[in-house]
Amino acid sequence: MQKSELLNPEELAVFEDLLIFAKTTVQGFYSGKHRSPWFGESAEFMDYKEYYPGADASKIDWKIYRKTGRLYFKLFAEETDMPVYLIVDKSRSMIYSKDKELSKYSLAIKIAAALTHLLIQQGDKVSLTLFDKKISSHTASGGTKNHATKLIRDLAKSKPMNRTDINNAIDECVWLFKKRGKVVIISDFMDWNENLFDSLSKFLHRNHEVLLIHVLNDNELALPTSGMANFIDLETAETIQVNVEEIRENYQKELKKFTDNLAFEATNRRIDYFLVNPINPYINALESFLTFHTKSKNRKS
Amino acid sequence: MSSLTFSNFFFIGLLAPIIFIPIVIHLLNKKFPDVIHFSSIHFIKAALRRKSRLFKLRDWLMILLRMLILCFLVFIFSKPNLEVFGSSKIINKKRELIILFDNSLSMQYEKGGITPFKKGIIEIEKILSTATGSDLVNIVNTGPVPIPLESESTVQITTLISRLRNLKPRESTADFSAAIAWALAHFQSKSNLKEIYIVSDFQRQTWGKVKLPHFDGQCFYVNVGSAQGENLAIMNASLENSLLLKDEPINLEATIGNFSEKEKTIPVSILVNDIKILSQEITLTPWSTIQKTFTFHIKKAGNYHGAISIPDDYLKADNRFYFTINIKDKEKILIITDEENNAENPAFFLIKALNPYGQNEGNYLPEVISLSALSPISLTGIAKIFISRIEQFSPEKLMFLKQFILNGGSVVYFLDGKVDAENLIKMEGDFENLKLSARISTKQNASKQGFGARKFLKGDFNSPFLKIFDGAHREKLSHLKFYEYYFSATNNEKGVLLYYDDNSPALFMEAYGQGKILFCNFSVNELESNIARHDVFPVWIQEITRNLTNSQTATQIYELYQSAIFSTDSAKLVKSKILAPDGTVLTDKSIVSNTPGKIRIKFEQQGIYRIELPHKEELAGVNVTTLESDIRSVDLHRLPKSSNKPETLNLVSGASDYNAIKEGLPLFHYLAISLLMLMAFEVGFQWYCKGKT
Repeated sequence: MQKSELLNPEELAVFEDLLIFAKTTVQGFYSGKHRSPWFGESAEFMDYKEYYPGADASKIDWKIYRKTGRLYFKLFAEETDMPVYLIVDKSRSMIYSKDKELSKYSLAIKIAAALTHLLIQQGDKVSLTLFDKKISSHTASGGTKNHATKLIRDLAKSKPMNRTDINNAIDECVWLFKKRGKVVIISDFMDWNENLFDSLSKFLHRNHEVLLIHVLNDNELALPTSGMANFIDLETAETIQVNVEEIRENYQKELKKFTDNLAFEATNRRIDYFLVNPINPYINALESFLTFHTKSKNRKS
Repeated sequence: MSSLTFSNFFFIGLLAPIIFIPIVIHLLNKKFPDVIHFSSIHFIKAALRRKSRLFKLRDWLMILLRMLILCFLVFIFSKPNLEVFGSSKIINKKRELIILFDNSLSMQYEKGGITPFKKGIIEIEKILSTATGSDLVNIVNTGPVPIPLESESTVQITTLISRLRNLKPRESTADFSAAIAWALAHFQSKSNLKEIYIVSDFQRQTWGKVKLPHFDGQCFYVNVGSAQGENLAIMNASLENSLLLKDEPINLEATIGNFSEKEKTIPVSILVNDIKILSQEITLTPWSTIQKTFTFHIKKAGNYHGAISIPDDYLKADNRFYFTINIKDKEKILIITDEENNAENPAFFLIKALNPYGQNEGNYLPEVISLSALSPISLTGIAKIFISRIEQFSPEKLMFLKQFILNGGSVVYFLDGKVDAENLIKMEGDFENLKLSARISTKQNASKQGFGARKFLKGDFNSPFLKIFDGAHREKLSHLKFYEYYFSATNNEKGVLLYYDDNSPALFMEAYGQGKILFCNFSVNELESNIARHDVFPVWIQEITRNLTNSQTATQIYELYQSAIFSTDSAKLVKSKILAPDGTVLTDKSIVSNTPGKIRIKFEQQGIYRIELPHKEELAGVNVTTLESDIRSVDLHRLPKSSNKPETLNLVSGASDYNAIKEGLPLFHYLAISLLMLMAFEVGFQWYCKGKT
């Protein structure tokens, strides 16, 4: 193992946490549910299911019909070669945390870790790209457990440092992601501008399917409780003094306008958008991904 | 302008800084704001752009509002009091309260079961309850003479209240000018907070001329009078004739007042020796006094006491007026003449006129003496003298006559002597300040008939001496002819009662001292006039004699709390007994001055006093003052104002006012309500601002 790949004790603790977290979250997510959320036509046979009116007649196993006189169709575990590209924002704005709670970045990498674990377990290939003003690291797609471990280690190692330039990062990603796949971007989109969707459209042109997972903190949604406060921008270090109570309502309106606009633009371009609910963020994120995955399958079929 | 005082003044200094907390917080917030590292200030900037421009102003308004709330809070803790009634309170300074309590008759006006006097006691107790341990108080019982309940102001409130409760109501006037002067003299050179409280019904007679001199204190008026009161009163009663003889008509002239806005018809009763002898209904117009004469007779000589009364109203004391009547059996009349008593002399005709029945049968008993026999002894028991044809006055005799008239004696002087012109000049010379209304010169003799007989031409028929010639009887005068008389001329028309047809005075009257002199410029001798032969003569002489009576001797009427001196010899005085109207015997202590031969009695009760001397009883009628009968108050806004704050008229009433004088008007509850309102406004304002941002 190269020296650069070694984790320091702190990173190691984060890595172990992430690993355990990913496993427990995914297991917890599936407990009480069907083993596999999706079924397809892969070679791996899973089960028979009696035909029911309206089911796809092309999937009827006529051999069984001949032997038993009853109509069954075979169920296979889905197998696809579409990789999932996880793009995680590691700009400085992601450092923000409410008081001493988990930072947005911690939340983002935990969601990424859980998705990685889920996807690798399902036999999908996953790649991980970290960016700020440009791509800071990229790991090509893979489908082994070792690959998953590597990705999670990468996540654990990473630290938010620079300003964001999401457009630039996406433009770079478009050239990196050769194979058609599913692009999942986890970011606070604080660097959002009108060109973002132009950049994202490039993914669409290359037949990628895109999911935006928007990570925001409680305080970002409603502003922290304070009187007069000096707000320092984590990315630009710009300072502004305001009476929080004075602007809270306007701020909330502005932020809602921003998220609504983001959702609206995404819908217009058949991009999935999901704003993580801070109350139960991981399960929500996994569910949003599964919804996105199901929808993409339906679109394909 | 009213100012504020604070019961907890130290709280102001202690808590005042907290008023500035909002502004300090605001400034500290600006100076030391929270530092928040935030993901992006992009949206904060956007929010700021949308912020209302008024927000900053609102911010300052909110700060001001909060400062105001804290200000009110500090005020509430400091227990502020608004100075009222012009009080210039200095914290912790000793007060001295002098209460001038009206104890006049009008304070006895009992309406609704309570008198202003009783109300006054209640109010004074409330005033006294505001006095704290070191405060000095005194009460002045304000009657005709102010009498303080304590010689010096005291801190013993309980003792003072006890004395106040034992105070007896008086039925006289109240001299508030004297009471105020007493209070100011008492205050002099004292550095206490000086407060005068005047507890009164502010009856207009009492308060009409009261002034409040400048002093460095405050004067407060407590009105305890009835708001709308009406009163009827007998203001006065007097007998028209001074010396009353049995069976002669007695005219009692009474003044009755109606002090109400309604016309009243009431029965008036006259009682003699407690027996009603007359009752008559009279009508009184609103706000008026009328004079009414009541005539009655008493058949026997003696000392009588009488009363004139009207039905009781809210002020009972002035509904009854007491008087005395001294009825004499006969009156001795002295006739002075220096001519022999024969049928040709005027004295003969005068005797016949005064006592036409002879012996002791008439009311008048004439006695003839010469001028030389005139002496104080001969004048004892004599009230009336007739003079006719006398010699010249010697200085001694003239002095006797002068003293007689000065002491209330009356003289009828017939100018029919030879030296009357000289006598009149002597009288004018010896009687100080006597100016005769007519002067006489020489006498017209009957032998010189060239001038002819004189007749009466005109006269003052309103005079009681000529009343018998009123109306149809006037004609009788025209039958009278006078042959001998003095040539005369008028000095002063006022005193001339009758004129001859040549406009010369025939009858003129002079008042001198307590007595009267009636000069008749004619003679009753039948050779000198025909008057003696005329049937009008005895009647006229009797009428003149009756009207010569001095009214002061007719009845003994006194005002309550007055003193009177009764004369007797000292031996009899020891055995004398004085009975008050309620029947109690006045002890020696009640006799204020006990000089030999004279006793002075101070009348403390309304009614008839009996002074029983051996073989003699004197009566005195004692009545309340009539100055208090009109119970209307003065216009309270015209009461004398405080001299050091001339815009302030301190009309106060009730415990809250008295406490306000002491401590100011407590503002706690007003401030508490204001504070709550301000807080509610602050919440509302915040809510409003939130909606606008």
